[in-house]
Amino acid sequence: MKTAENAVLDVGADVIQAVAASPAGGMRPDVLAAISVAFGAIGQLIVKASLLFWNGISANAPANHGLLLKAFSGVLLGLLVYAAGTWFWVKAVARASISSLYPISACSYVVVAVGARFLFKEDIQPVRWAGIVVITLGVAMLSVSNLRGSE
Amino acid sequence: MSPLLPLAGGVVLNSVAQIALRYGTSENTAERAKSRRFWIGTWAICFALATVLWLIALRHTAISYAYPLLGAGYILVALLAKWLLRERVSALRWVSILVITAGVLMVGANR
Repeated sequence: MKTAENAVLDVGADVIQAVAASPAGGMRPDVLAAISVAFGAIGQLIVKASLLFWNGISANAPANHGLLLKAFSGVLLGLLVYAAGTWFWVKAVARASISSLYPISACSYVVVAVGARFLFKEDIQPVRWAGIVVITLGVAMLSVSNLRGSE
Repeated sequence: MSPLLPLAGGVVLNSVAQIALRYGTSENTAERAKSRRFWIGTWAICFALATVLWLIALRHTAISYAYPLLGAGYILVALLAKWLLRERVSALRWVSILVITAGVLMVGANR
């Protein structure tokens, strides 16, 4: 007999398969992956903006439930946009090998850092920029190592 | 509180979630449906907790500092894939993991 939670989990697995199989309007897998990077980065930046707003409220007007609700909604919206990115990623991966898409997903570190620099005026020291580029390079290198491994 | 604590916890839980998802989606036969549910359930719980820890870490930390550190997940997933899933990890892949590790240390050590 099917319990409720089992049904939910089965539905979850089916949803992932349905997303993978859903039409992509003839978009190439690399374009889908790029869209997923953009949504993922924008989602994270919305989350951060909402948390900054949240911190401002809890310091100045801790009892204002309306404002707190607004901040909380912002966090949820950011997570939803991020989830939309994952949706595109699942579609991309269903159409091309994950490894060939690694160099595109690796760009997310640079995109988030550039967004943080311009939106939140974060002070990014040269060492941090260098570290971000090195991580991006390393993730992109995973693609080559996977191609070699599958030969 | 250092953001490294919730960040590390989130990365560990997220890596466990990835491995669980791999277990959960590779066993699709009917008699293994029960174990599939267990692994998908593990994935969902770890993923949800990792998200909460990420929000806790990000609340008081620059995103240009916290986000790159999530790259540590690649290191952990490679190690777990080798130890638990017994996947072969090529030499070039270890080099990539080392490069990522270097980048994570460069960001992490200079807040």
